[in-house]
Amino acid sequence: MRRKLIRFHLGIRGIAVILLMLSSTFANAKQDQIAIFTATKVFTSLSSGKAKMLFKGRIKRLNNKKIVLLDWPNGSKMKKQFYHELLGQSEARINAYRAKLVFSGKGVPPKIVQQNNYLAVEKYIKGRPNSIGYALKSMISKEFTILYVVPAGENL
Amino acid sequence: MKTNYLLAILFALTTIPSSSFASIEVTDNLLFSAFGSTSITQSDNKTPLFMNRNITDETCYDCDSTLGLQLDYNFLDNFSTSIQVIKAPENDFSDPRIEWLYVGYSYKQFSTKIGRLRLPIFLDSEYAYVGNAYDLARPPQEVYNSVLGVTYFDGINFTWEQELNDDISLTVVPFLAFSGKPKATIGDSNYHFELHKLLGTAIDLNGINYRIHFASAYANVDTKVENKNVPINFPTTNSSIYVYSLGGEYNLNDLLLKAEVFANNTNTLNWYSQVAYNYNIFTPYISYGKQKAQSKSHSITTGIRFDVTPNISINTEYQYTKVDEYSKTFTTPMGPMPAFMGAGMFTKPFVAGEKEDANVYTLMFNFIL
Repeated sequence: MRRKLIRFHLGIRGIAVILLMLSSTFANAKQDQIAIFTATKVFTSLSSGKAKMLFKGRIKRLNNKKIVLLDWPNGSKMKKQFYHELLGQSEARINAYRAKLVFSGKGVPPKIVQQNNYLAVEKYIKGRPNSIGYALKSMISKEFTILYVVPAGENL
Repeated sequence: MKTNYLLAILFALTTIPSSSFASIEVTDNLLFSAFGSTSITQSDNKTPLFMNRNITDETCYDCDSTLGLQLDYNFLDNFSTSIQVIKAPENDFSDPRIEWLYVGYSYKQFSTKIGRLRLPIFLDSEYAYVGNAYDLARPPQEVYNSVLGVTYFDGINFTWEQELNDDISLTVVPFLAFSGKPKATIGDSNYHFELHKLLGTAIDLNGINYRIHFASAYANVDTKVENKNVPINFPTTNSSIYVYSLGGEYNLNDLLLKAEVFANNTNTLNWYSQVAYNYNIFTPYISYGKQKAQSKSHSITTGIRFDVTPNISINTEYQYTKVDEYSKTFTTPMGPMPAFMGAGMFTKPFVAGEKEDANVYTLMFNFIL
């Protein structure tokens, strides 16, 4: 009987450990959401609507300051995922949309980092206080201000 | 042959892996952008179709050829200047035109531009030559040909941009033209305008998934029409023209709904509505347009846009257009004369024996850089 109880406890503990591991994996997955961030403390958090308006080029200023948007290289997984999750649109549709702004004289496209990695994004943002970029939240250093975390699968 | 050069450029672009839109950053402040379109198109009617494109029953390789080059330069924080040179379908490659050239200044939510500017009458009129920016192979002709192909003015505009809340922004753009002498050619007719006054306002309400555009304009203009086949001029002086347009587009996930209507004080009422659905690289669409002006016509357009790369798209399109009502004569001080202008979307009087409708087939290539 006592042996049975020990086995039962071990079983419970085993399940608990597995559950803990799963929850930790889930937590990591949540941390891997994409976040919009900047180097300045002047800008505060963005609402979902404002983040979308910003990356759609509908607004060009925050707190009356001109901002510079930063994109990952075309064709990169990060760029595709970002626009898909934030706006529910493919890179081609976003490009077509941006063409409307550029070729009507109503806006400039985001700057594009040359290298397909976070360090290139970080370097650019660090050097330009009014620039706003995006990256995996887990990668963004604490010195930056996170403006908005894109809920995973919001537009999927 | 010239079209082949453009095709070669397009092909070269397709070979650049994930070539980037937008633009080439020459320096931090200087941006170079380009766009272009070319097509293989044919109708089943000998009578030329569509203003400035003149598509007939012969396979045409350069009826839609368009190439645009643009330079944008920002300086002193709040100033900008921009030039756009285009070879529109009606221009030769050797005879491009300056579509815009301006200096701009912005302060907070206000900005102004002075110089040559695009006429902001329609939803897509400021980028109507950029085929990659919209779904159809050509902007709906019933509406976009309503202002006789006049696309720019020399003058000044002011812009006021206001965020109404986090999800909606409002843009109001009053504009005023200096005097000018724009020209237009439709079929065998040359239109010479002398602009005494042009003023108007464009208003845009922008949401995350929609845009509503309203524009109104007033022009006081002298017009002289010359026709190769009719040996008289038809001058009109001090005509007052009022135009109004209202359009909207709405994105419902992958579905795009769009409609636009144009009216003026000479009893013109043109409109279209369209539906497109984006699935991966494919965007099938259908559009219906109607024109009620000196003649009445309607058209139905259907096709598929393929986004070959983020910068290059191809349209395969079929369009049916039919003239429903038109006058074979027109009245002059000397009495009735045979009509010298085309009816509906046709740019010349019907070729003898031709019917009053046409089926148009188009394969269009577009790129942006």
